[in-house]
Amino acid sequence: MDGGGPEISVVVDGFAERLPAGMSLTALILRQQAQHKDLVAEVNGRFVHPRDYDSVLLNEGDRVELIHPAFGG
Amino acid sequence: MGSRYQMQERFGPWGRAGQERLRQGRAVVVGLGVLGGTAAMLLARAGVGFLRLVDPDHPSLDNLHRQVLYSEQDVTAGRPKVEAGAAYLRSLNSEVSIETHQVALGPGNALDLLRGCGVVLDGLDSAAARYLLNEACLKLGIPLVHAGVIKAQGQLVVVRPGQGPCLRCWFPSRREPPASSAELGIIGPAAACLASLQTAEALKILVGAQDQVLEGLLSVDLWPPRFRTLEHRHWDRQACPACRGQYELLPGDSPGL
Repeated sequence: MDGGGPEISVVVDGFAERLPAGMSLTALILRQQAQHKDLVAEVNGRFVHPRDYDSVLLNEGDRVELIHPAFGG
Repeated sequence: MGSRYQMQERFGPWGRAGQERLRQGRAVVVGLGVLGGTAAMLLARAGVGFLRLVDPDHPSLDNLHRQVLYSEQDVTAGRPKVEAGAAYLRSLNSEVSIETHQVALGPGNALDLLRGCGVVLDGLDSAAARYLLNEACLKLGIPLVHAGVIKAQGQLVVVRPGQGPCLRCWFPSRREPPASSAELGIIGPAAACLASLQTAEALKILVGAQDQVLEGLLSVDLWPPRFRTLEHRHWDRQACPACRGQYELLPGDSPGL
């Protein structure tokens, strides 16, 4: 947990996390040390386009899935 | 003695009618690595009527832990993947007509390599080639079964031109990932799992079970095991250049349809 403000509970990739209230999807992705533009993100079953990561703010109970595309074969 | 395909024909949703459709079916496998090679093997065993194989490379020793079409002898002899693969597939099922192209998919040949087939299987190993394959499938209106794999994970998407999101809709950045499978590694079971899922989707299309085809993106991780399906509820054909017919990777004068 970073900071001392209010927290929300969010499920990230199947694991419950305590996050600062009002956290953006961009901030979560950075927190997860993920490559911002190179992943597929979904919030509550809804695909989020990378251009919207900044404007999507997480709420209590949200479920987030972050997937790094694999391009080997 | 039973018939060759009786076990899969006994699977109700497939049946003898599906088997007959498969016998008349035409598939192209682009890239004969672990995904394409495993998929080609399963398609040939299942009795697809026509299989077109596309790959420019030769198998190497570090392919053999996961790529099922090739032997040590193929590596030693320096046989092209399409040649070694076709010989092996013919030994599995002589009823399948196999066509080989020892070339890399490129803007100048993509449409010709795919044309006339009912489904395309993505066995490529780079993002750039996949975006080209995506555009070519959209232009020709052929379903594309995409899979990708790295480490012990991967994803599966079925692109139905004009009916749902394409690869560019799912992966809009169009950038190569920062690290390749050559750097991060890849394990055989994960790749075989993705190839198997990929083949199942192609077979559904070929036997006429379109209503059973995957919607969304299936993410698979074997280490630890986790399967997830993501839905793309925001698909807007006009928001994606490739979906609305603005092909940036194909030559402007391509004949197309």
